[in-house]
Amino acid sequence: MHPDTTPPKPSRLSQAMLWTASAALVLMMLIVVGDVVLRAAFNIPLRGAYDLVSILLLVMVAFGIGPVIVRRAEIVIDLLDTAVGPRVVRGLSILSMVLSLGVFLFFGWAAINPARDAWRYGDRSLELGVPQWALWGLALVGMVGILVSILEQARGYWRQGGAQ
Amino acid sequence: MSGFALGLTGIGVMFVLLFSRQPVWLALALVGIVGNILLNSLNMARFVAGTTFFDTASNYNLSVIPLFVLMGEIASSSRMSAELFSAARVILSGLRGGLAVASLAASGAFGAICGSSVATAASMTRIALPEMRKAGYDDGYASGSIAAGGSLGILIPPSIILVIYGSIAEQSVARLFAAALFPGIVMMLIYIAVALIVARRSGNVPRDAAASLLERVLALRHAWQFALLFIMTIGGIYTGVFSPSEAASVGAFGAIVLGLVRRSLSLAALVKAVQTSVIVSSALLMIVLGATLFAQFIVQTRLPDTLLSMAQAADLSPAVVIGLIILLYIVMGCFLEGIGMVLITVPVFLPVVVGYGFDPILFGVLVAVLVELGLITPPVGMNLFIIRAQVPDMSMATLYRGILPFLIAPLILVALILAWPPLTLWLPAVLY
Repeated sequence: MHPDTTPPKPSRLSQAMLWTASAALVLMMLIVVGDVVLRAAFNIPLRGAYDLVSILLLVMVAFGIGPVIVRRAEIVIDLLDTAVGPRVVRGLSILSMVLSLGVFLFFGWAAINPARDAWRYGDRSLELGVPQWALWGLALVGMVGILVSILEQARGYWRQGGAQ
Repeated sequence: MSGFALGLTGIGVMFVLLFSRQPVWLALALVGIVGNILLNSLNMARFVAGTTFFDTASNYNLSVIPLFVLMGEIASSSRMSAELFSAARVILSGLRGGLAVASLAASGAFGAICGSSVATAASMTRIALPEMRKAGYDDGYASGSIAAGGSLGILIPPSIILVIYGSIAEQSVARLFAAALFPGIVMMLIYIAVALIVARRSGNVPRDAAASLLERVLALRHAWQFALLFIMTIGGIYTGVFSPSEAASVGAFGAIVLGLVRRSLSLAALVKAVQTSVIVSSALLMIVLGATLFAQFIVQTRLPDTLLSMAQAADLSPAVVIGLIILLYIVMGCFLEGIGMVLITVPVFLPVVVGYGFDPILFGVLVAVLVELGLITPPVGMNLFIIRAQVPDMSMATLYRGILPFLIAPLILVALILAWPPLTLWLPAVLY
């Protein structure tokens, strides 16, 4: 079997991240539906719906990317697979893991300054006044989860390599 | 190195990364970040990367993507596509190739509540292909009609491709959805015409028994939940009652309620649909994130402006420029995945086509049609692979042979869109 076609069984962390992201998606849907119903029936829009949807989308993305990586669900152009051997494919997959790790480390490093500025200047969200530093904190927690997911995927490759 | 040369090098490196099996989001993000460092500074690239991640992940307008994906997943999990096919089968009975026509019509209708060609093609392969095989249809003809019908999912609104195009091109999603409706219907009709012509010419496609008028009218009742969802979502957007995000939420919620009330959706299937939606939409939003970084880099290199100036200096007419761009999309569609192709090309081509006087809404619909063509064009036609994955005893050669006659349909539609812009621009002008 192709080394890249069987993702390792997702860990508890990955499952927890997926459940968190799923809960965020369902809540997002319910909040918007609640807003629409309240507006249509009583002419009372749900206060903070815009903020809540933005925050929940942030949670869904920050906690959803890790499970995508662990399940190898990223969109890849795999034209090479039939032309080269499994070893080359595995090498390229490891390269993508290393590059992904580098890019997400860069994202994490890049997020520190804006998060610190949000703390220093007391920035808040428009409707609910949620402190922006808390949202940056959520994004950073999600990024830590993404980094752990990449390492988890690396462990999967390592085991698959050893089994061959 | 000049900005123009750096931009071209960046695009070259990105293609090398893409064909070296690197994920689409990674190729785009890496070129965007490294390009920004080379063009500006590490500090600037750091600032842009940090804010882009946060702004993309918390962009209210992008919430429409996971919500429409969720609606499509729920609709796929709750027998709606099967009921649409049953209705279309009776309504269109009596024709030579009637099952293929029914599959195309049901795909078009399912595309109107789903937005994903993958889900549409996968559903119809499960539902319509066994019926066509049982009726003695040629495998190539049957699979060709299913693959072609599946591609309608990304043109007929709601369309995930158009939402993503709207975000990167800064165009109204509601206007794009309005613009795509008639081209989507015309596309379905051209596919049906192709299916009927092929059936008549081949001679070995059977004719189904014709249902009575009463049976046809009664069959319409199978499609009531589709009609309800379509009116709630797309009708809501067109009439201005809902924003696209609200329509997507109401549609997803409505699909869940319908599925649970009619007992066609179990709790386990609901959980699976939500989790699949998270995975699919997070993978899409990763590409949007990468594409935003890539687009920022490309804009700073002034590559699109330089290309526009070069085309104008070479005295190229708008027809030649759009012709070249279409040709490039057709070639890329043979090898690249649709959403990646849109996000790679739109930042480069959009300023050029707008500079030549084309409407960005019209260009968005044109791009969606070309992506649709890419989904069924060999060798890398995603819909063909989806059928093959579900029917392993069908050879790729049969699939390639079967899809060939249907490839003419998107090309005819491209010509129609360019020759007669009101086909695309009339409805948004009336509605908004």
